Amino acid sequence: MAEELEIVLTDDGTHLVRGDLDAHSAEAFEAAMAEVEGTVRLDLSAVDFADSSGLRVLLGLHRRLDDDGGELRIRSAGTRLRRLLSLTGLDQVLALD
Amino acid sequence: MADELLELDAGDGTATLLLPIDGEQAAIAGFVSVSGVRAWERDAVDLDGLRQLAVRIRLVVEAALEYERRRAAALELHRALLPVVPELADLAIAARYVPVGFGADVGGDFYDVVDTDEATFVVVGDVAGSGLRIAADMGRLVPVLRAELTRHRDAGRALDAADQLCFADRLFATAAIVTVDRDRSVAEVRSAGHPPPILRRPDGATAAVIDVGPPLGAGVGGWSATNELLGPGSALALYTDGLIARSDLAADDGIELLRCALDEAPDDLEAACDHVVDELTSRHPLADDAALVVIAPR
Repeated sequence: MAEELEIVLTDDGTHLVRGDLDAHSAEAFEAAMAEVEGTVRLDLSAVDFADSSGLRVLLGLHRRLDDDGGELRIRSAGTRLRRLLSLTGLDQVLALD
Repeated sequence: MADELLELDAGDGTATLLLPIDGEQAAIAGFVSVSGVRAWERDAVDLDGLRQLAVRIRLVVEAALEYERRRAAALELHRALLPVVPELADLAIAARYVPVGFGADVGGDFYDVVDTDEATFVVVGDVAGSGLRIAADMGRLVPVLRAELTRHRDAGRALDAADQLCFADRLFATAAIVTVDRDRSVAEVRSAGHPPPILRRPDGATAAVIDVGPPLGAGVGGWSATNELLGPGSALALYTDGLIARSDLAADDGIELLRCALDEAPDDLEAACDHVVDELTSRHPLADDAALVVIAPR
């Protein structure tokens, strides 16, 4: 079974995401991030697995923030997620620090 | 009656209490059963608790049945949206849609083949989302690609149009379009965030090294072409990531599994498709629906 998605706001204002970002958790992620605005930093180093549903909500968040003059920054991502972002061309869209 | 309690004498001084679980919408055959009830315990049995348990079980079973009905409807709609692959004299094409099975959401995997007098376009893509909604989204995206390819015969332009639709409607999709020239000697690959095709030549199979552009819906655009030679005896496999993605498998390992499966596959394309699907589903069950299209000049 997929593990529960956990989002923790760290002291420096980064949202630390832990768990799988997939069809099961995409809605929860979207809901948890519904209110964030401005420049949002995501630490995805503890996201082991993501699928297209997960990538869709990442792109959706990026677009919403971008439309409002904000920005989505991905501060950290594991090699596996990085590879996925590059395979799906999302590394050309999202800001990876 | 929904909560008619049956009491069976077990013959050993105890009784078994049976409370039927009756479905309201569908027939559910089942009982909540309490056995080994001695005569002096009979009045202590929590009948209200048993009735509540029966109702809960009924609700769970009905929810599962309802889910399956919706999945079946989504799957039927999905299948209806997939085109019939044309029979071409000089290009063999085999396609598969592989659903995960019972209890899972229907995916947004699609394929299409558009044959024009300039080139044949093979499209494979995947819309993110699930359920009936995904079928509807697919049902809008596929005709846009088809119309653009038919009208302009330009894969880059078709991806642009699809990207605009996805951007406007906030869809997220990946797609690859292979343009096969009339000589059937060159396959031009363009990918919008889609995993690389696998090319099989008589001396072995390799994952095509392609330039992957941004996915559809990002509104960024820019899909450059990579040309692959399609010699005699070669085949090209396009697929969606459901075939290679597993939570316990890195993306490149999934692509490698697919490459090996295609390498060992029989020459006949239909048999090759079956072999590839078999290989990829038997060892690692699919987590997501998948599509596979294999083409070969003939």
